[in-house]
Amino acid sequence: MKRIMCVVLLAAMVLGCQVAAHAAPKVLYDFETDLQGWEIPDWAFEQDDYVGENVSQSKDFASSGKGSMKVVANFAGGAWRGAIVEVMEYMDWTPYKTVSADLYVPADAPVGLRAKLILTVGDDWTWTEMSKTVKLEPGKWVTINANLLPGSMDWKRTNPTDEFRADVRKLDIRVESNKKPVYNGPVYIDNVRVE
Amino acid sequence: MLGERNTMTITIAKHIVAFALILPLSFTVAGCGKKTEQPKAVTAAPKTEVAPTAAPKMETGESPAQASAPVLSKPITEEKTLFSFENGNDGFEIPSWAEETPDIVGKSVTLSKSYASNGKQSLCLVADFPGKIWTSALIELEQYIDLNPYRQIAVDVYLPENAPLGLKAKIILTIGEDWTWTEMVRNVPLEPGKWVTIAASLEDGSLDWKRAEVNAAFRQDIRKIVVRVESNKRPEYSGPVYIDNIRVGK
Repeated sequence: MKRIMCVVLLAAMVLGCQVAAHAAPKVLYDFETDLQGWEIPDWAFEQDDYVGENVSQSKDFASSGKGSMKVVANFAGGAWRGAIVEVMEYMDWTPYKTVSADLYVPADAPVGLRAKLILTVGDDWTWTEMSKTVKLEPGKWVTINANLLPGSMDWKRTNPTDEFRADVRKLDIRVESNKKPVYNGPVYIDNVRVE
Repeated sequence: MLGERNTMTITIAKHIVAFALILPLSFTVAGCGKKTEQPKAVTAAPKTEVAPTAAPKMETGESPAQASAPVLSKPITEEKTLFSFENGNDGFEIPSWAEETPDIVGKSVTLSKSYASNGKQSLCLVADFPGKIWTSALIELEQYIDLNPYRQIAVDVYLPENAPLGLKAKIILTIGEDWTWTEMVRNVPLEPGKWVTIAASLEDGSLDWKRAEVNAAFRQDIRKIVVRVESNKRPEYSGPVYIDNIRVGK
């Protein structure tokens, strides 16, 4: 009987640990009332290849709730251009496996815009982009998602360690047009979350 | 005067005879024309390369046939699947540049449960090869990938049984800061009704890549992976090609 109790207790402990390692999803930013600290960083206004013009809270489209972040950008085509928004906040994502955001371009936007997440991590403020972009689909919410765990291939030239997700200092979302398409209009961002 | 002319004639004749004797000898020693090295790919053809008409039979339930195994310094003992398409297309698509290229004839790419070499799903590339000219259909992933610990890259490709013989496939990588387009040196013939593995060595000095020096710098800065299916004037084929289990080995 004692042995059975020990086994049951051990099993309970193991299960408990596993549950703690995969916490419930956490919405970091849902833009229901304001931009929650997100902005176009000053350095982007000074660079010719960054074409985000302004950012605001919007109720035009939302993937969750009623509000989203609206970024207006002017992609002129012919060269690589990006529109970037950023929040600076110290975050410990140790309990989480992935970071995600939902992006929407209006139905009349051209096909070809792409987007990625970028983290700034650690004491060295290391700029770490996703290893690939995700294609945006006009008229549809598209989720951009990246794995934070060791072994993930989702980060450019980076093999994430446990420390990687423990010390996130900035989160950026960048929309890109690589020579095409030409687009002057809004991109909506919502439901930035970790899971 | 006549004597001098005779002397000159004899001298010229002697030179002609000497030249006629030496010329064949020079061919034997030096080869015709400018001496060039054999293309490295020819002198180091994989030992296990199989001609298209002699592709191995595959029994039901067997692993995909490796129609052209790359030459490796030692066998692969550990494989890692990079993309199995079990949860989505993993970022593979027909790239927008291909849609504007007339000899690229891929029409769509979707997930499929019809055939899979690994798990339950594969990527289904629908193509329309018209025949009579060289055309291809391809899928591409643009992603920064470091494959430095690995010695081989491979993918499985399946054609339905009713597809014609003659389609071939290869892997293409885009490498480094110059985004260098780097094709496998050889195509691998596809076999209707069978999964065929396309594989290439990533080892230092590998001869599997056209005009490329394969080393650590090559492996660690891969920016695109392309799987391309080709019809060189024939066959004509309009239908699906299934792609699965893109993997690396060490």
